[in-house]
Amino acid sequence: MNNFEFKNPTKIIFGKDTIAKLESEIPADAKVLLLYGGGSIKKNGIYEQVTKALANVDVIEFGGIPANPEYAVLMNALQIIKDENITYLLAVGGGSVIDGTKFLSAAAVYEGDTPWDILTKTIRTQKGMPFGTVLTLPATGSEMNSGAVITRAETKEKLAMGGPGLFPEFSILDPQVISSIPERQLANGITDAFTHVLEQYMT
Amino acid sequence: MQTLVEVAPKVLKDPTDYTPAADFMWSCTMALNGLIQKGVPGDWAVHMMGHELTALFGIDHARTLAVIAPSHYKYNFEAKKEKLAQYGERVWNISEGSIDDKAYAAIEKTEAFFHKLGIDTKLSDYTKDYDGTAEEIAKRFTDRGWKLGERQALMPEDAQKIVKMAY
Repeated sequence: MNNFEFKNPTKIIFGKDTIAKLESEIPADAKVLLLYGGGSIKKNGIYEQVTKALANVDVIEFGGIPANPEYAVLMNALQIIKDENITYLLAVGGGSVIDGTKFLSAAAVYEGDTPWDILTKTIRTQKGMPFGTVLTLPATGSEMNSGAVITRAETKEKLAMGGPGLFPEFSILDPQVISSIPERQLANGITDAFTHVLEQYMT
Repeated sequence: MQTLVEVAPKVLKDPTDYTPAADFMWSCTMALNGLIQKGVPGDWAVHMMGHELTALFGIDHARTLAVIAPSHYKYNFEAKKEKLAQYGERVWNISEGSIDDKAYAAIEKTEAFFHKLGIDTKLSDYTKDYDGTAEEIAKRFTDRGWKLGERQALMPEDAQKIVKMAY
């Protein structure tokens, strides 16, 4: 076995009806950007649970992060983060929303002119804007790691990024959320997780 | 992996059943939270090639992995057959035959598992415009100076052959 160091600072809150615990995880004085995807969270009750838990926090919403989080869309969110002086990010979604949030966590503190450089020049983020997640689609494992993959339609690129500053501060995993996921996405999730293990095992 | 194989049909049949849902959710997190890859090198070549298929064709990420993985393991069979055979024994209970037989059967079992989930494993199942994909991906990897795999031994021309096998 090779020598290694291991540090994973993400707090996992796992179980039934745990979304309500958001309330005690986000700093009371935070200005939060709530990020989500295509809007399924508004149909399956997750959105209500999240907004109820955040009733006493200053929250702005940004929906519409697509599967394979798109750089151009995320740049719009980055503008909001800067214009509104956001201090905390909350991803409510699957791997795409969480990865997009990691990009924003890095881009919010990035000092260069072009955030895409974080991906092309493999700039590792030592400390990003703090963020947490509410996982709505088990698959990628992004809720407890520091990597992300971002897509750019303009150039048909899909590139990876990461760094020790990109672990979520917390992730809430309520297995009840999968009850409304379409079968196709459940099958994708199983395949994704299985292949993750294969890639680490077959060496 | 055994947990995923065990709970997959239950989760697909009834996602409101809490116990398999919880096993599935935690398995996904544990599969990539850094813990299991400690002390060993990671491969990730399947992901790197798969990402290109999503970038070029918009195919779901997981499906690109299922397209590339069987070809990747067949192409790198000699380097990976001992691990493949061990995986075949432990996860798929393959007990008959030589190392080569077990390793090959493990790849077949993996592909069959994806099919059972309703996941197609050939690029041509997803697009008619696959001609030239392997060359395009090899060119991108060359331009980026990428070498893949746990030993950085896979060159762009190897990726080209693997992607072509996945047509």
